[in-house]
Amino acid sequence: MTAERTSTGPASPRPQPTVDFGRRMYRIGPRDRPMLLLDARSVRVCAVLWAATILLAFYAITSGSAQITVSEALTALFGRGDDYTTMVVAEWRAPRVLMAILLGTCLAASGSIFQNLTGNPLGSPDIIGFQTGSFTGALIVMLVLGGGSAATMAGALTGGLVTALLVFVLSIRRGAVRGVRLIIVGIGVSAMLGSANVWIQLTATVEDAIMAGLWGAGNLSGVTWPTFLLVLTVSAAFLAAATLLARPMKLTRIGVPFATALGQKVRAVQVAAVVIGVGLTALATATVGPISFIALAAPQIARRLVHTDGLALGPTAAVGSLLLLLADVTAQRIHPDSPLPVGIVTVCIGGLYFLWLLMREGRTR
Amino acid sequence: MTAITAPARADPPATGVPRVPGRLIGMLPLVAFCLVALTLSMMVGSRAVAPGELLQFLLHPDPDEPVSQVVWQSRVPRTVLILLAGAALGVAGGLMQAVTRNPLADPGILGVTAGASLAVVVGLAFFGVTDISSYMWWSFAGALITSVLVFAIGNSGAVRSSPVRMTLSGVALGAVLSGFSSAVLLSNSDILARMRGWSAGTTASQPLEATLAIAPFIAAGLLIALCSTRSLDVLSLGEASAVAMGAHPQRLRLVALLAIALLAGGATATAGPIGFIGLMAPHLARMIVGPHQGWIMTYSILLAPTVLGLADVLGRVIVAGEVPVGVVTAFIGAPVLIYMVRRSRVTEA
Repeated sequence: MTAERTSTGPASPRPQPTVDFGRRMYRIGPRDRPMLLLDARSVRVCAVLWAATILLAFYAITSGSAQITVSEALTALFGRGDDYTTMVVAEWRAPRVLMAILLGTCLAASGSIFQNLTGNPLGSPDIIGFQTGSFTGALIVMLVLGGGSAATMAGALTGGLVTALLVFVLSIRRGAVRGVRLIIVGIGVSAMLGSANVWIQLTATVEDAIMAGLWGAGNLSGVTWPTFLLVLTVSAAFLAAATLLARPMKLTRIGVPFATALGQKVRAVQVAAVVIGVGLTALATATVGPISFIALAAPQIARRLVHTDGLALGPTAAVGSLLLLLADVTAQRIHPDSPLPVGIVTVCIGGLYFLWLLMREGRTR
Repeated sequence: MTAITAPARADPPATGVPRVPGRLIGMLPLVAFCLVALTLSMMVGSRAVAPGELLQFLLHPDPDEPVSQVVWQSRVPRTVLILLAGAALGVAGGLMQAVTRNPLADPGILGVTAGASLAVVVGLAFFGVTDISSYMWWSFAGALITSVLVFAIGNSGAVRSSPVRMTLSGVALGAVLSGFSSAVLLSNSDILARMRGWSAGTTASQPLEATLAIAPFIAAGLLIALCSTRSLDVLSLGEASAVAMGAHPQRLRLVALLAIALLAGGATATAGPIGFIGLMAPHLARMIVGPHQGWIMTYSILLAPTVLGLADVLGRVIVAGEVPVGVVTAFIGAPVLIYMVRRSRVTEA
């Protein structure tokens, strides 16, 4: 891997038609036909973020009500620790930490896709309200039909997908979905579903309502290995598809006429983006309940860190993982006796961030 | 202000003179509708009250008669609350639409009722407030702070912000504030048990005294709104034109904020967060009377309780238990919002 500043190329030994990216790139492969080009700043930012995430993960695994040293944790993870340490580390803490990282990635990628699709930094799935639909599905299963956790997951998944479908059908006009209309229709649909949720919770007993409310606040506790592996398998497929979609979406972002003129099937790209974006959010919501503001904030933070416009999936995923893990670690430690649901922490952090974002954008414009 | 409007009134405008009595007469059917809705609200419920019985017990309350108790302890408080909260929400919505020049503005959509209810929940949970005469101040404060925030965010750009941007800011702010509310409610099961009916938006939970305690504040808010309608008409020509005509947009905004806080805060303190009434009533009024703030506000005072009353009656009959009116208004109002977005040019910019 060699680093080169392609923009300053007068000292090049052979005069060759190199592409000027206007910024530092890392290249793998020969100069005239590179296999992979990576933005240098993006690579560095990702490395720092993932390093921070791993450090935080170790902190999350070792600290808590049972203090465990790093070496103890590592031996337990490799299956050679004593029973108690193995249980705490490998059965309780490790799946939770990994789930936070994975779902952070999923939510951030979904947010990035939707913000690009709607062309609006506020057009993220938590504002549009797909998560409200997932909560409706879960509530119906939990409180009306009385299903278990697997049935609740299925209900949440169905609810999220049906809501997304409804929002899209309602926002199509003359065969086109416009970002802003999509957002406002989403707000309307989620207002309806939100009040339906309130009503379903009202018909239940206070205990059931608290249980459902805790689910509805987004909770990472009680994550097990089988759940994690299931989510990992499904999300890997979606995330791979999202990576493949990054290039065509960049083109669409420049402009639909432009992309069409270059021979891109814009409609197909948009439909694929919607399916993947909704799938990622619905998956995360079905697993741990609605966690808002990761999808909203992560792409914007990543954009500012990497100084790119548009879809920077890698850094976005890294920011999302770090944010969700940080929120979960915070949520567990604010009140050690009664840990808060992580969703409440993300709402608080996200809310402050969001106000800052709006104020700042207002000033610079 | 007066120097400019006085000659305008003295001039015989081509269409204005014959229309004014028309608009006055046009109010009569609305008054009738409103009375019908309020009467229905007195009659319909788990114990239906016949019109004759209703009239008899309204005129001659009889504490020993169960039907009289139903009328005076349940139906009359509800109906008074519908009248007050409906008018308050309708006019608050009209004010917000006029001041922000945003057709999608509504105290519920822009998060003002969420702010008011967060303040009430915080007051109940952490400051031992129990009585409506003290927690209404929390509600007013919450509504005021939230509307200031939404307005500030909406107007923070150098260019006047788009309706969509302001709507999004309000929705997101509302989401954050209700997130806080649910955090407080979830960690405090006593308050949750007491307030969860209220937090859905209901007319059923307040005694008559509580509603009457809030009535002067709502009346003050309505008065302020009606007095500022002429300036709002001028503002609708655009900020620059309004200044050129001698209006004071900043002062007007402050006055409107005060009125919105009184109206939305008062309605939320008594009935909980009810959305979409403030969106629908002014739009209905505008469809009938056209772009004239004074008439829009006046018609909204009649239309909003009508819509709220009908929604409440619908909620009582639609299932065996009772659907809180906040849920019904969301199910009626959200399709209206979606229809507006699909039809109008609001989102074309």
